[in-house]
Amino acid sequence: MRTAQAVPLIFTMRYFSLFILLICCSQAYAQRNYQSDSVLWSIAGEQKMQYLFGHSTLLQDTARQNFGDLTIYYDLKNRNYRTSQQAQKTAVAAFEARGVNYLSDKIIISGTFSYAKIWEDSLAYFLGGLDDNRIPGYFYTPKAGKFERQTYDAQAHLGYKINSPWQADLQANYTHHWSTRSVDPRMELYSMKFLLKPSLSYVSPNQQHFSLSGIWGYGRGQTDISYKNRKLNDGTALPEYHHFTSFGYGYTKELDSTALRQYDQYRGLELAGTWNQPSWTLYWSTSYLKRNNENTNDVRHRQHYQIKQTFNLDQIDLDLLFTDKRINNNLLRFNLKTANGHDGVYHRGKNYFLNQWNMALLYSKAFASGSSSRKEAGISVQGAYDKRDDALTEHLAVRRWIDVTVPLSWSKIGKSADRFRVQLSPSYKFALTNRLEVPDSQINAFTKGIAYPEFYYYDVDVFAIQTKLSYLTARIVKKSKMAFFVDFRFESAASSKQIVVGSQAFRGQNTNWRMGVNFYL
Amino acid sequence: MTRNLIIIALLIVSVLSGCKKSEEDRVRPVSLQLTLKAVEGDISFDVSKASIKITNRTTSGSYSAAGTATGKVSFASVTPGAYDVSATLVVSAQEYTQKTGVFTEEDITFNGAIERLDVSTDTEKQLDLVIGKVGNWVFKQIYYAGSDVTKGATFRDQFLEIYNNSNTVLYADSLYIGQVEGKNNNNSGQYFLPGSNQYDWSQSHDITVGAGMDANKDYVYANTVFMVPSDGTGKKYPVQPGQSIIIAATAVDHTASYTGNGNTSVVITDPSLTVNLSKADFETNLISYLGGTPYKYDIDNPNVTNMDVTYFISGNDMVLKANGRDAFILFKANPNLPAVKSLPTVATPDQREITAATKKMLQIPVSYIDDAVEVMHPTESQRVPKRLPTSLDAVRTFVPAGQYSSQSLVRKTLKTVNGRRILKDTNNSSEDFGYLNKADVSKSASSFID
Repeated sequence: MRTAQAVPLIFTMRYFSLFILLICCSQAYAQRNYQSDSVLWSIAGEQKMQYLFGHSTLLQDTARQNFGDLTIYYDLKNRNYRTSQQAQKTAVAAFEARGVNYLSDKIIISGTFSYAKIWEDSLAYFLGGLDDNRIPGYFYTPKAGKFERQTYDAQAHLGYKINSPWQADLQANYTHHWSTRSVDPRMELYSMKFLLKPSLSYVSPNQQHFSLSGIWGYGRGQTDISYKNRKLNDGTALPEYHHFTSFGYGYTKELDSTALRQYDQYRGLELAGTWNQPSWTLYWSTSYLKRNNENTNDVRHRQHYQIKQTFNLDQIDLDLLFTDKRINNNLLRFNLKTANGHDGVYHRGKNYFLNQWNMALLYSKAFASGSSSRKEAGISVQGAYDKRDDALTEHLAVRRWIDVTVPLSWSKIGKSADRFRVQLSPSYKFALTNRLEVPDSQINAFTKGIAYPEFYYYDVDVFAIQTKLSYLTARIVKKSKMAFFVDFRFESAASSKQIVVGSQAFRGQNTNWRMGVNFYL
Repeated sequence: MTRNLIIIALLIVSVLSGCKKSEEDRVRPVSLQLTLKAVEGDISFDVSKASIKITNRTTSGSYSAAGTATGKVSFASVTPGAYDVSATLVVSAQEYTQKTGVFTEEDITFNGAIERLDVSTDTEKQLDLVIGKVGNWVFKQIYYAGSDVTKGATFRDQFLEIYNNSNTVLYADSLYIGQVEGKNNNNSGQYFLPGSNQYDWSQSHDITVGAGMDANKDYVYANTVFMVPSDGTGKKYPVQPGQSIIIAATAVDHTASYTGNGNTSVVITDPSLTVNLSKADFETNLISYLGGTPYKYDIDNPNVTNMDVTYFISGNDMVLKANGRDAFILFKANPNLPAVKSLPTVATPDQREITAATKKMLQIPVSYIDDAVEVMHPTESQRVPKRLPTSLDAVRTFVPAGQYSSQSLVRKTLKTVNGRRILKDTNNSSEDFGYLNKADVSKSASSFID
């Protein structure tokens, strides 16, 4: 039992204001001595910056140059091939910024910020927020509807060199999400997540870096369901409007409570470092993060919160990035993520088990980097294993797939230093294993509405091609460069296999347009 | 360099070894094994043709199975929880006649049901299938839901339609209708039956039960009983085979605004939601029975005969529970049985101190009753314990849109013989009834469901 705690919205706004101030300062300094565009206009550069902002304790000894960029984009997805828990149409208007600033030899600040406004249409079977259906304790309804969402995500980092060879860092991450749905059953969802990551690093005289970070954090969430038309909740005439609560992968409850409060606790450790050699550098990191999630009923109906279900999720992440220091450099990145979880309390034991592995391997090679016509080519292999096991309802879903992508890039630098870049990435996803086992006497609304369509989704091979055209110029904004880009992705799923009567397979082609502007500071 | 290699190797090993997750305390599904028995007297019937349905009350998932020659039916893997179980066996008229020596023209239906069966562990349960009472009088249409509270008539337009399901002329004189009392919550307790949480009437103060009778299975307890008046001949109100009578709560035209008692204005803004009951055959009117200030909505239509009030414990008018927490009985006075007015009355078993103000229910033997139908809320979480024994109604029913929806329950037509509809009456209301999106008082073909 626990007492009520409100989502700290006031804290959110203060934090947000502070962060904006930090970013502005960072960008102002950043303009003095760095040209971010040259970093980002290559696969290797982008991978490296992404890695360093993900492990900001490594920024102190790696870049030593100010950096800042800002992106505004509009994204439009149309998904015919999807699961039942994905929207058919999604539009996103987003703003993203990141920067690093070396204030002195000892002090570094860095940060990222993103804001996204999302409109989704024809989304059913998921009345949730940022978590996907792997985390139990969410509402769903068969009735499709329109959603509006808003997400703020911020990261702030302060690093300080105490005394050679020691360095201390503090990183804070804050995410705030809000979602609403405009069709019965109407959903109103708020969630926040706060993580604090203090680090202590040892940097040897030859610039080998070892850091140890603790991770501490918490999250809060509340989902409320309401019906404007009460008759939809009262009767069985229109069952597609009924809401359910999913407590796993098959265990479901119809017309359960209309409010859920969720409490998360995060605890973890991270090790990260660099291995510097004269001709190459290896960045490495591994982390363990434990998330304890509690689902509780709403206090309006009871004196105290009663924990209905717990979910413990253990996540391990291994991330390696190798780059050599040739002009035509080679890059190799390997990332392995595992997530293992199980629930508790609700069933007086463990009912739902989650086991996920995600692996990504990228190799990229630059060609003619010293010329005005630069090229890059590589290969990316991503693999995944996903197992959902619901003991009480005997639902077992196991799937494995592998995706092979060939990223190609060509850049042309013009006489006035304007640049033009074309990227092309064909890919093919192979469905390796796809099993769904459910006894006839356990088939329920979840099986038909969610598990079957998901089975169909993972049962086919998918061909995709992504193209991106970018144009960078310094002639529009003084002392800064900006780039315009158009990104298009096309996906086509293989033809349908057998479909169980009474269920739906979402098949066809998907398209994704993204148009935006980058500002490099 | 060796040190760095060792660190990275350790990282990979730690990732790989950290992924084994304990499955201790893993819960498991359970099994449910039912043993079906269909017996009448000393004669057993083959249950291999029975159909069995179980419904998980949490997920609303329903699963079906067929009977077996041994009577054992197994659901090997089900989600633990509470289940509603029902089984139906139709025995052909020929087989029934052969086995019992009792001639019947119609097939005989055996029903069995258990509500809220706890299947939290592997469970074995015997399910007895019994023959329900099949009467000549049946409820044809039950309009308990009422109509919209702001645009319609709320509960004022409720009615019951009673049908002559026989092939001879019947007389409605001294025909009783009643509403049955039951518990309106799901709390367990000392005076409630384990499992169903319904009142354990055997614990009612000073209750008298006939020899070999069960207070909970062989009686119903009515809070309201009305009777069609009789002129002594018993033949004043003939009802032809395939014809019906409508008993209205208030026999006025609810599709139009009118003035109620005490000059109260009753406004209907959407006539399409409600019905015209001004031509009902009978109405319930309690003004003279209750005395005092007439209830504002209990209008007395002088052109419609009032029902006699046989028993009435509270309220202002006949109000069927629009939320579905109700059951209705129908029976004809039988000169061979004690008069209805002389039947004993008992308080609910949780009433331990009986005073003059204690409300008591009329204890009516099941043997009196010709037809009974229990309704329930469409939403599982809003349902309350079943109040009719299986022999009267094995499985309850409801209108899907629920209270104030204008929908009515209508008994399905089994067959038509020489233009006369014979309505389905297996004592399983969930099978016997369908619904109309709007109640129909026309008695015409549109008021039937095929």
